[in-house]
Amino acid sequence: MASTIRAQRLMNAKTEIDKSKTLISKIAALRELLAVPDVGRIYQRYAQKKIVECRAEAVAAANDELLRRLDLLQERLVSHVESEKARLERKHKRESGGGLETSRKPAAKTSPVFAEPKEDLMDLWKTMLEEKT
Amino acid sequence: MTPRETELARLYDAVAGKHWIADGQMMLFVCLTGANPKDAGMLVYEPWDDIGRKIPESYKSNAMALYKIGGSELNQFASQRLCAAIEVFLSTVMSEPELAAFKEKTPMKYPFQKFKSILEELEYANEK
Repeated sequence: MASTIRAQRLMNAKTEIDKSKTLISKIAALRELLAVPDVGRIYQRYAQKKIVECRAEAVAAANDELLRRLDLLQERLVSHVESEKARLERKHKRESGGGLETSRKPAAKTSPVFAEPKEDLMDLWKTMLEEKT
Repeated sequence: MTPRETELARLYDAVAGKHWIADGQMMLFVCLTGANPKDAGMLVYEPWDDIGRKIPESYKSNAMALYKIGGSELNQFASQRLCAAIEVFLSTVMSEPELAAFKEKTPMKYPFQKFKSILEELEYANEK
């Protein structure tokens, strides 16, 4: 129930941002969006995009007050991102702690090297193919 | 479960199982990296973006090995879905004749077939 209400609040705030034509109303709607607890990744990215857009407009209008408000929003967004990161790390730790010996660990964010394939996986596939033949 | 069974279960889960991934190339990337399909959402944001949402060419030999496994070990739907994704990837890193030669050399257990009607398809499935 709580998650439905949260999703609804996020959606309403997003609609408000998309609808609003003035910079000040856009910032007010952004504040509503970031006031929701546990903003997910998708909304975080959306908010970041909008903050950057608003900042460009505020700089063009040379409005210091709006720039200050945008700074506060940016801080709020960063705290959302950090809490999300901490939540995911806790989840990884929980999931990698237990399980069978043969089960794979989840693709952790802490292992950023994906540009090169994993040797052990290829070895496993080769063994599988050899077993078959 | 043996490592072989675990691996096949992981592949099936990513391709046609509970945690199946809709985007073909994303699904292939999860299969190739050995990631848990349940956590594919993590890959979507960071590493998948980092590599430009395109599987690197270094995965070519792995993809070819996976084609052999997928084409022979998985069931009809999963094998066709996985092999189709691999063919798309290989077509970007191989020339057309090379790909055709590779496909000829490694035949699939359930090759792609076009049926005139659903009855014909059911008949084919029953025969299998």
